[in-house]
Amino acid sequence: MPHGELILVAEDSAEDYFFLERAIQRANVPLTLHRCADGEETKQYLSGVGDYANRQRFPLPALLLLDLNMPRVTGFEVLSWIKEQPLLKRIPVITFTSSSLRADIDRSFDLGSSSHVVKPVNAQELEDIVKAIHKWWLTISSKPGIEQG
Amino acid sequence: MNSRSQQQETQQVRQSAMSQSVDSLQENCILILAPTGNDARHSAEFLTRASFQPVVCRDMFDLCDRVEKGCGAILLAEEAIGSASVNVLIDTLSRQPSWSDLPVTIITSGGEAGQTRLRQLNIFGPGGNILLLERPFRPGTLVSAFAMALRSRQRQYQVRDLLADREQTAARLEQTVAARTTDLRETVSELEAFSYSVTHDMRGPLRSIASYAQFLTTDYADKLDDVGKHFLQRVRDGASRMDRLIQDVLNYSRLSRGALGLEIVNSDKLVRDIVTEYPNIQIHEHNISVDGTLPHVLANPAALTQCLSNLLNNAVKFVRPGDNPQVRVYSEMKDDYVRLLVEDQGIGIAKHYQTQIFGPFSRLHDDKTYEGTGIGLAIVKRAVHRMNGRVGVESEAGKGSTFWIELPCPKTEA
Repeated sequence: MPHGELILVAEDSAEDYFFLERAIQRANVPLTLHRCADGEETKQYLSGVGDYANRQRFPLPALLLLDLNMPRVTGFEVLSWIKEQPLLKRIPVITFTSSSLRADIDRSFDLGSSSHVVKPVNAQELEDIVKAIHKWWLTISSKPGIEQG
Repeated sequence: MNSRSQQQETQQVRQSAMSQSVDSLQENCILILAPTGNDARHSAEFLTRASFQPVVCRDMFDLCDRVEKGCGAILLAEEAIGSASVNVLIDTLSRQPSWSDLPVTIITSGGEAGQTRLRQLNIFGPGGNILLLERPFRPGTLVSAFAMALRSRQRQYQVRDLLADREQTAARLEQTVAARTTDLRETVSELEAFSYSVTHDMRGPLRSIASYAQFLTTDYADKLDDVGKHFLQRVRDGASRMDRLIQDVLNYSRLSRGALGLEIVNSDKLVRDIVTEYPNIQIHEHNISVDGTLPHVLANPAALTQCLSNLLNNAVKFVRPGDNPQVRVYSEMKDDYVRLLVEDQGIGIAKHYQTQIFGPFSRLHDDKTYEGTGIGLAIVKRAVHRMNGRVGVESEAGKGSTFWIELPCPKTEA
């Protein structure tokens, strides 16, 4: 099991999450994933509510992969919310979704996402994406300070 | 219907009939201004006996006041028309609505003084509907004069009513059109949203199909024979193809939304960028030539990029097996239009297919020979039309094709 940087994945589809896990495995990059199955859970994790207050077990992520199409609390709502949190807003957010609709892409950037990726149909492409994310966001790009103090 | 509402209806009809008859009394009254002698009294008597509604006025102001409230015709004695008062009357008449042409009968003495008067009375001008009646006149003459006047006044009221009707009908039509347009817009909007959702939602399951097929290929390679691997490859190819179809359909349906924003586009830069940047086209870079400098056109940059890349993709795709594509892009000027042409030496298109290839989902070849979704040219056609241009092809089977798009020249700014 690869350790290393933590990516928080907000994804309501267990299947899409499975594809992501597998891609990371096959890409052989040092990444750990934690899944939140909906927008509310994502906010709770990031806010440190309840069990999530234990930052040893549930550390803040280096990156948030955010699916836009989630029920109840949508990806856009999570994105708006996180960009209003004093330190959390520094965490790079990559919106990750089936939608290639111009309006969705633009809205995502309007709300402050760092990047938008359309989920590929091809599993090989997903591996390439994961490698690229690790290389750019977690190796080359500087990491923001998100801990208090 | 119960008797209560029947009573209400009868009462409503009676009331409207009553107001109508009051209106028609007013509409057909004859205003008389003849302040000297017995003209007024006698005329009123004659007219009343003939069942008309005469109204004797005190002075010109009284008469003009009643004209504005509504009347059928006017009887004036020439003595009542002083220079000041005639101006008041002319002014009142000029304010009448366009359908109104009030008949005015003037009692005059005739004779020499009368000739002068005639000329004086011509100050009413061509706008006045004037009948001159010389004294002495018989009652019958007066009555027939007003019978005719009121008859023509009736026609004028008919014109008035027709005009009012027409305005009402036009207003109702406008309302109906507005309501229908709103309905249509809502329906189109719903349809677009629906078609978008459906196509978009198909990608999820497609992802599953393609991914699991690939996992089988990778993880169970040793348990699969060549046939099994081949089948899985076909599964993945099918999923790929469906994904391309979904992209194209989404592109095509996106174009249905109204007019595109137009601006002056440097088509030369656009074409050269496509040739160097688009993967499928870039590999043939050396075989694609752009003649001279292509002109500026009035277009939508994104849509034009889509069109030209589709045409260039086709040009490099439809070659004879083993051949290298040879493509030439050039331009021609035609009056106010610029023609951009993409010429290839490929397999060409027979005349009888040249219209249908621009329809959606139209393909002339099966997937094994030349892959494609059959929507590329449909997208070009729709996009070009949305930019107020035209598209066409010149080709013969086996002799290559020249696809052209025609777009307006940008208006030169002096």
